[in-house]
Amino acid sequence: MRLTRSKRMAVGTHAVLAVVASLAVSVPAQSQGATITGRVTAAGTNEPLAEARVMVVNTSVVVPTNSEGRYVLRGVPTGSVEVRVLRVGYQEQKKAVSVSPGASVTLDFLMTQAIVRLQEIVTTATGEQRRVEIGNAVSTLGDVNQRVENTATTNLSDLMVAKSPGVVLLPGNMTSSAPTVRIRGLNSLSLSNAPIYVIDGVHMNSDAINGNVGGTNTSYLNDLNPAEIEDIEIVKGPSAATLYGTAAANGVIVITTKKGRAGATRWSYYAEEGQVRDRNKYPSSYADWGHCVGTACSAAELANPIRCNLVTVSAGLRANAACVVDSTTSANLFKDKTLSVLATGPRSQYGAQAAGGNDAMRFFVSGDIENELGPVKMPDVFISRFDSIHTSVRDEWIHPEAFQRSSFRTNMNATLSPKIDFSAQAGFVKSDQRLPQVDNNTFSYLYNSYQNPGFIPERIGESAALCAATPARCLGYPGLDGVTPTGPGGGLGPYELHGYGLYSPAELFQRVAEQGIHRFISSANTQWRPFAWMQNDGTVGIDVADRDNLVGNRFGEGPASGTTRQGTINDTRSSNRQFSAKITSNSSWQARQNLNFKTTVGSEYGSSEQEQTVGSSTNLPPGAFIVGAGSVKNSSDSLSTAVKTLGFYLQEQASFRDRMFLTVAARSDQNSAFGTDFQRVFYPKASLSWIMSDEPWFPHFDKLNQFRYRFAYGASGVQPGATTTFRTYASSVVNLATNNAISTAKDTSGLIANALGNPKLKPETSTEFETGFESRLFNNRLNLDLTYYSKKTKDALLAQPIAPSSGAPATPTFGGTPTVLTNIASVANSGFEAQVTTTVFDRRNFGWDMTISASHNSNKILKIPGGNGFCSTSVTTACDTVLSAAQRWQVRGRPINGLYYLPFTYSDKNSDGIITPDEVTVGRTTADGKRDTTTFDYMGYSAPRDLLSIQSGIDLFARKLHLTALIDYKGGFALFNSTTEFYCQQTNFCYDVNIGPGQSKVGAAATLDDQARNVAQRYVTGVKTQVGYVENGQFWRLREVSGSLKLPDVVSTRIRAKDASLVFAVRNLHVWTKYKGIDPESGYGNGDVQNDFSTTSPPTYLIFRLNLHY
Amino acid sequence: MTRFSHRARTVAAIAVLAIVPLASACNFKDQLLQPQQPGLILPTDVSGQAGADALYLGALGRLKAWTVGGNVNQEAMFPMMSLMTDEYKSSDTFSQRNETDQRSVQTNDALVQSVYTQAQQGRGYARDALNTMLAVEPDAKGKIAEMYFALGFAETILGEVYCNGIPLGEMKDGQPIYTAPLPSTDALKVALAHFDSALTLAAAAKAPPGTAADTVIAANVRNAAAIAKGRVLVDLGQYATAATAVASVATAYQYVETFAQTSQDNGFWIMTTNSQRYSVGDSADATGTIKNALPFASAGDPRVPSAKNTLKPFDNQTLPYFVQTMFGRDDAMALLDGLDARLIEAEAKLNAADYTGMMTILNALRTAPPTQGIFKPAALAAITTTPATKDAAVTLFFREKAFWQFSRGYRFGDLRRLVRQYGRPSDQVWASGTFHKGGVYGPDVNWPVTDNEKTNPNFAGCIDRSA
Repeated sequence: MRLTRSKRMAVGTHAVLAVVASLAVSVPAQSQGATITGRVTAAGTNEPLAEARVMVVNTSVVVPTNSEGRYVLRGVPTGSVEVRVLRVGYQEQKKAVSVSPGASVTLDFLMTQAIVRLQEIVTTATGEQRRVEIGNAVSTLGDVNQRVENTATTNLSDLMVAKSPGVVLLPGNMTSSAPTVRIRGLNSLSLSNAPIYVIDGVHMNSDAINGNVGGTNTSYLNDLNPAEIEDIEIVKGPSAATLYGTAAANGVIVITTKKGRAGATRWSYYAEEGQVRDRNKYPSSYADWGHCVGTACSAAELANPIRCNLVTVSAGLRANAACVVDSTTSANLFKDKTLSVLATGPRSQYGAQAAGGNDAMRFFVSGDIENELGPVKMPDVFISRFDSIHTSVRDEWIHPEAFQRSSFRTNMNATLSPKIDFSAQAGFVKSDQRLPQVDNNTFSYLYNSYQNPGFIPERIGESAALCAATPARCLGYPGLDGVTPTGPGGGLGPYELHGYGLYSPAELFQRVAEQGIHRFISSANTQWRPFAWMQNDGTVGIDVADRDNLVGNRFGEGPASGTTRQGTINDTRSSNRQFSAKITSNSSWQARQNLNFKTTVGSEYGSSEQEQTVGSSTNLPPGAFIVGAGSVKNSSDSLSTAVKTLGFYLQEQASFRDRMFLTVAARSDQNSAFGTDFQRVFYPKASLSWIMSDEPWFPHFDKLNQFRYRFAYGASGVQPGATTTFRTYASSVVNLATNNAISTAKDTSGLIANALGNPKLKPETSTEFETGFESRLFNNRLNLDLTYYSKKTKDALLAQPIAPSSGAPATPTFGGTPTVLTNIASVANSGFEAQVTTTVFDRRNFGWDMTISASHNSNKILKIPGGNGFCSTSVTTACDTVLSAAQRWQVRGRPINGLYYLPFTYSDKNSDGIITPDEVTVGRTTADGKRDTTTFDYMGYSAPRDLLSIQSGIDLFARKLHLTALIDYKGGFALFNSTTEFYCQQTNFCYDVNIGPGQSKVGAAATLDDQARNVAQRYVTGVKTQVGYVENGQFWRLREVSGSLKLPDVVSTRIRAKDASLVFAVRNLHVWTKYKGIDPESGYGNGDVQNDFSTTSPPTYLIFRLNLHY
Repeated sequence: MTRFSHRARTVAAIAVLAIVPLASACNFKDQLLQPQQPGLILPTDVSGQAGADALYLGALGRLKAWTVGGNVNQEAMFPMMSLMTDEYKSSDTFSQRNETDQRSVQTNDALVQSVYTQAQQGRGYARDALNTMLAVEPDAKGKIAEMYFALGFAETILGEVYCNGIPLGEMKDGQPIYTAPLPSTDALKVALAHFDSALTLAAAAKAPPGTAADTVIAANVRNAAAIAKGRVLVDLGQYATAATAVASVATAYQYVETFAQTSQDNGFWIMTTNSQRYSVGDSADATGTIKNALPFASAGDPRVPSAKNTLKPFDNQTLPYFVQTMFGRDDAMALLDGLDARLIEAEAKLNAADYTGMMTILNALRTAPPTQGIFKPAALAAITTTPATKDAAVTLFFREKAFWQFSRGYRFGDLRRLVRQYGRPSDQVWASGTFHKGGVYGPDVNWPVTDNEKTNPNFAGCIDRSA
């Protein structure tokens, strides 16, 4: 394969860094100290505690306990030292001991169980650190393994949703589709507001991938197997993410995979079987059947039923031709057992894990296979139709929604010497995914279902053939695909639509969209402690993904649209490579008895490279499904991009009496995407953590066990796109006739101006301060964590529009409004986050714990060019002058993507139960009686700003049965019900235009409100408004319910297991909302604004799982 | 623990990392960060003659793209213009197409905005090529003339279809130069000046130093610019001058735009045959007779071939649905041709009250139809009755013109001229009455310059929306 210059350099770069890492490892150990050995056990039971972290305070000497709870600390500095032990679920303990050179001392610890279990060690950019030393709020998911084993967790977003205050997570809407994650509000108007991900020290690709199905994306996140994850920490903002540098301003999600533990090899097996169901309430279609009355009625209108709606009834079909409703029919293809594309999809997952080793070498290995068929399935009636014409039905047609993943992981930790530890982590994933055509797409099964005319012809006594022969009998609905020529080469040919709009599921599901990914994520880390006061870390890692997306259909298959059935294929192949290298050196110094310092210097290099090639062709021969087989081929340029960051950082931490911790730090970054006129950015940081309750002057209350004050300030950035600094040209293939003679026409290559570029580009920089406290109350039964944050993003990048009359080019769309990316805006976020973790009961036979999280965010644009700023999602026009029916605008003083609409009023003046255009007034009436159709109302946030979640677990029957539930709330935002809006604007089948016979006297009739909102957007003359479809998006969702039953010992023993448990878990069980659309979490795409248009929402999972531990 | 000072420890820690700064001295840092993007084409790549030629080709490609080129489901200017008139009707679900068909266009209409921006960008691409060629190959007068023609053609269409208030700026050194909005007639005069430049340069092209190919290009541009000049003169009401401008153009001449599946499709094929979002217009639909609309579909006129209900409309409700059968996927079209020249001459006769002369031209075309693109209709019988009045002559002329120039981007301007130049009330010219998708036709007789132009500090909206 040809190596580009950038690739050659990347290889060279990587080689140099590898040498650096190896040098760090090869420096020999030098000094000897004392040795402390001991055992860590649980108070009360004396059970050995494995995986406790034993450390000599203020040194780099730290070891884990083995399976017997034993530890050995070597190279301990002589003199008086303190040894601290930390373990999840137990209270921290510290003991002082005096050691002399070469001495060996024994120190045992008896640990008291903590009532509220919190993660005491967290992973930071400079390494692992005690939670209490950090000035930021830290969100950890806790025992991920337990969550995976006990709840219906199929992917990373299931793990994270509703678990952490301040984190808005919109789950993927289909099988393994991409979630959208936003933390502490939106910072950027033009760049991604998504957080970055770091796994085992390596920057991980988390991009959404165009699924080629109309909107729904897939995601690189779904390549991660939750069963392999030990812990997830969410670093929420710049104050905590400073040392992660450029790209971290939107937060960092730090993932740590499972590690081996010393002791006998422990095996875990699990088997999962489940179901996936789409329990959404999709709307019905309606038909108002009537007859024509009047002298202007045509013969056909008099001979056949006609369709009426609220306008034709009130205003007539035309002069002297009225529409009188006789009856109403309705149909809902999703509720029709024969015709519905929704079925129960099976799901299974099987896996095995082993962990073990000894003090010198520990390992973790795992393997997992997951299969899921989504709930979308070709109805049997169409399968039978294929059978009848002797067409073999491929599985991909029957089950167009499917996901399969095989994942393997091997992690290894080695203690090469008392001074050198080495670890290596490697995970490989092979995933295959298939999605049906859906969302904003002519071939969408939803679109074609919603296009049902309000009846199914054969169900109303009109055969499909009759409908086709005389469309008027079926209100113009042909019913039979008889007007479409038989597909080229025969194929399916004409057949009944059975109530579907343009195409039946049989045709739609013949069009296949598949994706295959091979993913390898690996890292190696070396820790070298040449002195007790120094620890050096080197980490090198890669994340490589090879992806193939295929969409199209074979000859004679697929929807009979245009040339589709001649066979089309589009094959997108991409390679994504992330390389990370990091060196950190920590040195500690005890300056005074109660004053300790820790200095950290470090350097980090990251390189993200992407390549993509698209090949497509049409006019395929029968059976062929490769690009090369088509007679008309196209191949897009392979555009390679690379974004590289080199950063250095320095941090100083001071600890006073082990109760006050002060940190100051700074990071400096250079990035390949910065403009040529801008080279370096500095990100400062400072934080304070103060355990005030340990101070002698702090008033001691019976109910208050600990009180820690936190303050943090910091900055980090988001880099511009890889190529946005450049002024570029693009190739343009032109078909031209030489000498103006058509017969000589041929394709030739030209160039056109493309991006305007901006050499002054620099990163968006977000600075944040947060303050709060953490307190333990009621005999440590309740932990209350409260945080206030205030974040300001300056130099926010804005795609600053340029008026078209300049002739400026637009990237990438011809005809798009030209823009140039400029550091020009400013955005503020503030809010609070609270989390209460409590153990209500903690008895031997009964336990009840609860975690309540809540957060509120305020987002405001502080600075934006123009009078009142620029408006609309594409930031194209000055919002103080724009006229629009529906807009998301950027307005100074308002939130990013705020919703603005023209208001309307209505009145059923004649009380006939029908709203007519003359009864609706768009705009507002001014004091002088004129109508103002230029002043838009601000309708609110377009994304949730209020979050609340309640997680609760109950242990019953001597804790053999564990029940959990998670309920979450999202509110404070408005959602544009674009599905209803669109179909009510476009069709006469929608509820809002259905009035029923006798108009308001019939129950099926649309309410006056619903009629009015549709009239306002569809039938009024002049300026229209869609404001009636902006609805309150708030909801409560029963997100998770599960029951885990530990099997009796007699059963475990019989299968020779240490323990075994059976789990029944349900996800997305029920939603409470006033939102009238499909679901308040309907959404596709992964932008900052949820897009509800013609899409679905997360399905319901019902899962049985068996966990076996050996 | 106290043997080393804090400073010593810090120095030691930094020393561990010293290899990175050392490497930086060897230009290591630059290699780490160098923003290499091998797929990019940079300004240095277009600074020479080859680059200028590539920009010239690119600009021609964009001229075709913004006039009639087709993308998957998005139309260029001419199809969108035809939707505004009675040539086509929307069988689509996009509100923008429905509202355009209904003549009720919002100022933020995404599709009208797109075609406006495309036309303006077409000017920009032509200007890019023009500036580069003037700098590096000033003797390529034929090509330079063609770029002036491309500039003028965009300005002609903008002047014909948009409201009074059309800015015509340019980019200079990467910065926009905004200008004040012009009334339509002033925009047309700018176009006229550019056509004159094209004609002058084309006449001056010679070989050597211009290449032989350049002289061929120049000859082609001379014809195209002459027709375009005549078209603008007609728009300005200078009929006789227009006839003079086109007199030398042969009836068989065509400035062709060709298509290929490997580069770009014919936009009318895309919007009709392929996606069924447009139906050929007619004088009646499911709502009854459409006032002022010509029976393009039902007349059975060989100049507008169509088929009824052989395909389903995209919206599944616009019935009857007529698909055009003039243009296939790769079928060439004429941007301008000799037919246009003859019709300009006929209109000059009309305005000179020489109805017989007008009929002579029209009948000559009917009995010996010229080829447009690759489409050549069957011969028609001559019209034997000569109109007796100007009103009748106007009606007949514009009906003939509409059928001859169906899908050619003329009808919009012609309907507007019928109001502006021939004094007919707009509700006796444009399709009116009940709209087939509900409601009634709106009042628009042109398009607004769309909201995305408001970034231009000189522009606050249309000066007026009159014809």
